[in-house]
Amino acid sequence: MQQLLQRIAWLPFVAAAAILFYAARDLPTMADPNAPASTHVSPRYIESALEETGASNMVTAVLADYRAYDTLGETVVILTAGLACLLVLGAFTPARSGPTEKEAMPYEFGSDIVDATSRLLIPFIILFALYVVVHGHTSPGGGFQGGAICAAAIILVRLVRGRAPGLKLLPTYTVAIGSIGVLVYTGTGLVSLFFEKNFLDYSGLPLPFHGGHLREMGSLSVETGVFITVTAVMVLIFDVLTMGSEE
Amino acid sequence: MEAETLSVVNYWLAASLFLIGLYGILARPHLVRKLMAMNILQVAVIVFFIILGYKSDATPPIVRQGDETPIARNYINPLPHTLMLTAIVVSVSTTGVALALLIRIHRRFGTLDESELIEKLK
Repeated sequence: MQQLLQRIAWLPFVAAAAILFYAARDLPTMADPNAPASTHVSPRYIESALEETGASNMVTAVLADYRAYDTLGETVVILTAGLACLLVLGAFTPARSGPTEKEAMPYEFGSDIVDATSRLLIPFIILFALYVVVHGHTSPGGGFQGGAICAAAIILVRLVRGRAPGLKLLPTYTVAIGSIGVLVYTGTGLVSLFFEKNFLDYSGLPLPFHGGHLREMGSLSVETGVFITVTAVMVLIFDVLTMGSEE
Repeated sequence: MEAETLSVVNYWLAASLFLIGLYGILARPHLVRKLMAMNILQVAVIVFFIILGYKSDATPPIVRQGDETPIARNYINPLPHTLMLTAIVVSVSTTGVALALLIRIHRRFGTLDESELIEKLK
């Protein structure tokens, strides 16, 4: 049965290939400014993002302002993925809440050179991550990217020096930090709800700014939440996956 | 005509990536390879969306300094970029969950090969 299935695996493959290669002819010409993807809502985003949201990076404007609901969902998905990793590997039961003594420094590969180089690099990587988040409105960047960079720095510490000298964050704490990120996100939305605006409508925030600048501050707060969640969950997934087996 | 041929070739490249991933998922017996194939498939979807967002003679979707009234023609479509930005992070998370499941399977059965797994499940 198994071998039969593997032998006929090329059938759906060929069918999918035929459909995809045939359908490519009907797709809009590449780089056509009048293609359907570029005509409906996208011109609205491009032409009014700077004025309405104060963000000259339209990707951030769409991500954190126009489609903030969507991004809230994505952030929760990431947190859920981290939780799922933790639950699947059984690390959330009380007896198994942290690395045991034997596993405390399982995977380090630090030589003196790697150690010295990483010591030099890591502060700058973390600083760059913060820059990417804070400057995400005027240059490429944002919460997701900054979070990934910051998590890369923390994971680098763990790879080079083992878990013990790095930030000693147990998975239970990383999950809590990730949840704080989602809380910052939803909290920003709820504050505007209390000031008689819609959920995640940043123009209701009680800050001493007006118009686009106010909405920029709102999306910055949301991006900070995303940054916290992404950093925490990436580190969490790394920790849980490298925890080593007990069985 | 030239532009159309070029765009079909581009779509074909994305479709080829997709098919490599699909073939890996269907035909390879090892579960880690299936996971890698799934990642290739996701990259194919991302590439496809990025192709859709491109415009000729346009700049990245960041308003240039001094451009008070941005015109849609001058900037590429920011929407696919936004969607793919979140898709990349979500694909990292799903890969993490899949790896956790694979570790779990390996701990339980000592193998990640599909046919051996089916034998052991009998």
